[in-house]
Amino acid sequence: MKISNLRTRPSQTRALGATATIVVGVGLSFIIPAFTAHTVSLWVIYGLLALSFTFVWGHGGIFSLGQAAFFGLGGYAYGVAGIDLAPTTHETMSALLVAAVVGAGAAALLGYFVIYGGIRGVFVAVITIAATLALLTFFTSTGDPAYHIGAAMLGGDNGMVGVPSLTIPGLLSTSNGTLATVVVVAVIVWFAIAELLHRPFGRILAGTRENEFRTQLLGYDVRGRTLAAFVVGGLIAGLAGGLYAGWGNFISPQVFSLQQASLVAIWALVGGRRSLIGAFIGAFAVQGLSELLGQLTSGAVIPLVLGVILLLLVLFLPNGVLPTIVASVLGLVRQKGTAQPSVQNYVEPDPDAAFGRAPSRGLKVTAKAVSMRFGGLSVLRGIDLEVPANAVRTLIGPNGAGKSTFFNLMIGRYRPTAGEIYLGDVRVTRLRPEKRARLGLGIKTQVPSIYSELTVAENVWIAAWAVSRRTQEASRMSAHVLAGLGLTHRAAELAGALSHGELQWLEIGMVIAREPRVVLLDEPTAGMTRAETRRYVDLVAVLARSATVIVVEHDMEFVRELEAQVTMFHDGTVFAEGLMDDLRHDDRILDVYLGRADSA
Amino acid sequence: MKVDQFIVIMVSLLSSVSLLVIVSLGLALAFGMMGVINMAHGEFLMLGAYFTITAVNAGIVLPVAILISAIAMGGLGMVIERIVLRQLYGRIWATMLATWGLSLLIVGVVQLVFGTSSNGIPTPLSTIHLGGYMLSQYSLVLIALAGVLIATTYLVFARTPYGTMARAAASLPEMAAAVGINVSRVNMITFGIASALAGLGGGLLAPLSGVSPTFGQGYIGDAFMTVVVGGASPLLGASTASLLLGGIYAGVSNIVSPVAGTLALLLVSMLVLRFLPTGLTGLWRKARQ
Amino acid sequence: MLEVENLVSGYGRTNILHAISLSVETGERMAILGRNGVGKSTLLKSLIGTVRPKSGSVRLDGQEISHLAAHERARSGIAYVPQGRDIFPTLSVLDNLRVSGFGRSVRARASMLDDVLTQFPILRDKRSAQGSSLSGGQQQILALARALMSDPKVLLLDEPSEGIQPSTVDQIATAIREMNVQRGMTIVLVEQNLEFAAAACDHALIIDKGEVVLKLRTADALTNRELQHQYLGV
Repeated sequence: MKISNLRTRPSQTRALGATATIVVGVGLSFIIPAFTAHTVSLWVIYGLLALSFTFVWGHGGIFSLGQAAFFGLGGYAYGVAGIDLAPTTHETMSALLVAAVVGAGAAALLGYFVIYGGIRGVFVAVITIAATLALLTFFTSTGDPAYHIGAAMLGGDNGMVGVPSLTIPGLLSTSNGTLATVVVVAVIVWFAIAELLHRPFGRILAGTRENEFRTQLLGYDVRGRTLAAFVVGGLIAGLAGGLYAGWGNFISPQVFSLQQASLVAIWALVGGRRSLIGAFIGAFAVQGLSELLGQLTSGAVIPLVLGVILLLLVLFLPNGVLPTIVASVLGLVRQKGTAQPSVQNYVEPDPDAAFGRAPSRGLKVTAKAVSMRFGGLSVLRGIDLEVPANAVRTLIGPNGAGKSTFFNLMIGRYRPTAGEIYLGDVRVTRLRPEKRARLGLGIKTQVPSIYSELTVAENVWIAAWAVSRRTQEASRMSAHVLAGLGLTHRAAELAGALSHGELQWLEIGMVIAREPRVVLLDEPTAGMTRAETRRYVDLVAVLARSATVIVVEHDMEFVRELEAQVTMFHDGTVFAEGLMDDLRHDDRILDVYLGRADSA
Repeated sequence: MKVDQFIVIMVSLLSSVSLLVIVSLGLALAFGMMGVINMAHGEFLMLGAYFTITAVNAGIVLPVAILISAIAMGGLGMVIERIVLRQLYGRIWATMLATWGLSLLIVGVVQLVFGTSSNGIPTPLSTIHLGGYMLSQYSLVLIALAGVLIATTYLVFARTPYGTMARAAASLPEMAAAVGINVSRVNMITFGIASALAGLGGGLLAPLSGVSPTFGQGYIGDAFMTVVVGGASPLLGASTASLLLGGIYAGVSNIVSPVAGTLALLLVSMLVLRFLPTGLTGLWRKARQ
Repeated sequence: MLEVENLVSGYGRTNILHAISLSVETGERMAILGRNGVGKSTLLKSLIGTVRPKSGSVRLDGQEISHLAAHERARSGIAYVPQGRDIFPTLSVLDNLRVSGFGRSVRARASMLDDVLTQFPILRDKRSAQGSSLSGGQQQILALARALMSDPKVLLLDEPSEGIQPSTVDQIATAIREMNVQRGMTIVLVEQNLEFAAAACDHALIIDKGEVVLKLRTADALTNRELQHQYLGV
């Protein structure tokens, strides 16, 4: 099962591979001719830059076009620090450190601004590209000798010259030495990132990328994690920039140009947007091709060919060249090998097994005079609701009664204009969603909110880890929940491949694995058949043994079978409360449903 | 301050503003009406400039040459929408990367056809003397034309059937389809107009500096900044952002230095976005409520 | 005549309509009743084409239209008044009306615009106002008028009475009947408000869990309490 991926063994293998690569790489560095070493060094540096983009975009889900900016800033930082420090320290490793720190710092600044400023989607791309271009404008206009830091002249359009080579005390600063240094740095970074991605941080990052709101609802601080990933990406780009300046003894504003930034995207797309090694392969392939074209023709065809490659990639191979090749090779192998696992061996979900043993620790849920206005529209007007611990409560009401808004206030998507909400004795009215989740609030949303690009097992694992914060415990818990939901045989498949019914169960599994104390179910039976609906009645009963359950539902047969207390919303107020049979005899309620309520 | 000095400063301020309008309007239109971020916008400007100087060198008078460039770019834009963008709607990163590929491709083609060296045509019209200062008549023309461009674009979108359909399709595409609007055709025309505006902009800028394959790079940063600060409403956003940024840049440049002007521009953009994540357009929306 | 046969439709992997079949005669006023979430809105969206059905057929006067895009269906004579009205917020009232008539000749458009503004004087008063500045009731009237502008054969309405004052609701019911009687439009009305549905339509289909379970006269639905409980109320 894919779930056991989080073991230590692969990381030992990886460490071994990294060590071997370093030994071979450093050895080769000193064997090949200096000229070749010089060229290959640049490819490795570009690979590192591509890796920073792969990490931030492919894994972190931030479509940042600012990696070139951090790269350039790192380069300038290395230049300044190298020119000012190297004469006294006789090394440039400290300058390299400065480059990394400047890259990370710039990413932290821009990232804080973007991520905490609520800027999402397309605006992230636009702002990062605008920042890069602004740096291009700025560094281009620093031609005046007045723009210097210590002895380092920024140099305007012509760039900064006289940047010292990569120097380690005791080692020669030759082209071969540079290649060795670059290889060592690249392998270490690759190893560190691969490790990071195989730790819980990486998996939760993947979750955040796939479905930010669900991750938040599981109790994770998504903004902090996304920012951390962005800063790491900036650090790597800055480091690469430092290596670049040391490699060429030169840095110019051209690193901030759109052309440079587009190269990063091409490398990453050729290698595959998720593959770390692919970043290097992509850089090697593209730069190698450019080199070849430069020798065969005038250099003018290079942008043309690269442009065509990028266009074709986006249009026809959005997953990248390398992953597509790998996938088709694997596909051939798989066809020859064993048959696909049967989808037919359907196992009846057994919620009791999945969740029945959990201790009874439901929380009382209280809403006091909760009101909500959107602009001039009053959606909720003084809702008072009290659901005792471990009770089941059904919320019904016609469209526009305010049920969805009420749930959104419960989970913290909005804050009410007036009134208070309590989970147990804790006032949560102004808490962020992840804080409420940590108190034990879980929700199954109307449209299943899951991670469709992650495996079924990973979906549940992310939920389970939020509770125990221990890898082994989370794996045990998720295996247990999956078994109870009859999903074990699909654990290794992508969640996006599940049927509608299975998706509903998976999402409930994620809620269960979080060990909730209050469960909100928003129209859980939408799109379900009668038989599936009946099974859901059992599930709610099981859930209620350990948690308080609030269900919004329109399917009155389902509501009746739940045999729970019902609260009816109408026009933003609590209109009626009681058992279903009582409500049936209330003519006012039928009037509301049939639209005659204005008399009431 | 003497009158002539005041006039010169005002003209330089309005020049900065008009330049921003000219370079950013096409980009803002594609973004605001279609959600497309055209990374090849700078290259569209550059192509427009090349078309113009080629036409002028062939003996066509400048205004006609500029118009021809605009029409040619409009046609090219529609073809690009058909062949490339249409496949990618709804995937923002894909449209960005695809237009990025396009930008490289255009640079490559232009390098092959025209070479990498800089071509140019002389700046038309002469300078006028005002007290102790000189004013370029062409920059006065650009200021006027920037106003005309905004007004014309406004009229097209406010008064023509196409404009009404385009605005409907931009706000509620599904409903627009449900009232019988062929949204994909509207998008093709909109991208054509955005491209034509870029071509026009390139043509207008061609006489100001040498034209080389990297021509677009000189303007693309300003264009993006204007669109980001302006926000999603293409006309209102682009014009107010141009006023704000152009005014600040010219003001600080005149008083301190061009580098300080660039820095001030960055700073103001950052501040605007910190408090109005959706740009200045967001401010208008707030004010209206 | 509008015929739907074995229509399967939904969002992503979720099917909301499970092989639904129904037919509405030309010139008929048909209400579609049922609780929230049974698939009424999905049905209308599948008819106008903003949701593409997964299988099954939709025929308008014998012509198969299920493969057509939404704008082609609109031009073949279907108009749609969606839930929430979807008035183009940045367009003026006049532009909201004009935008729906561009498929027709200038003359037909102008005379229809005049008719519509005469029928709904409030729109004439507000003709320069932005769509978003109208009240809910005014928006609903505008949505109705916008649908009328394309002179459709079939008019699909999704809960036009929702969130609207009683006086305006009556006005809308009257307008729907008039469109049917004077222009011969076929009406398909999705509703929760039974009295409104009865005021506007003669017949009703009741939908439950994505299927048609009953066809009856709206007058009978008004008096049948058992049925109201089972399919419409609590």
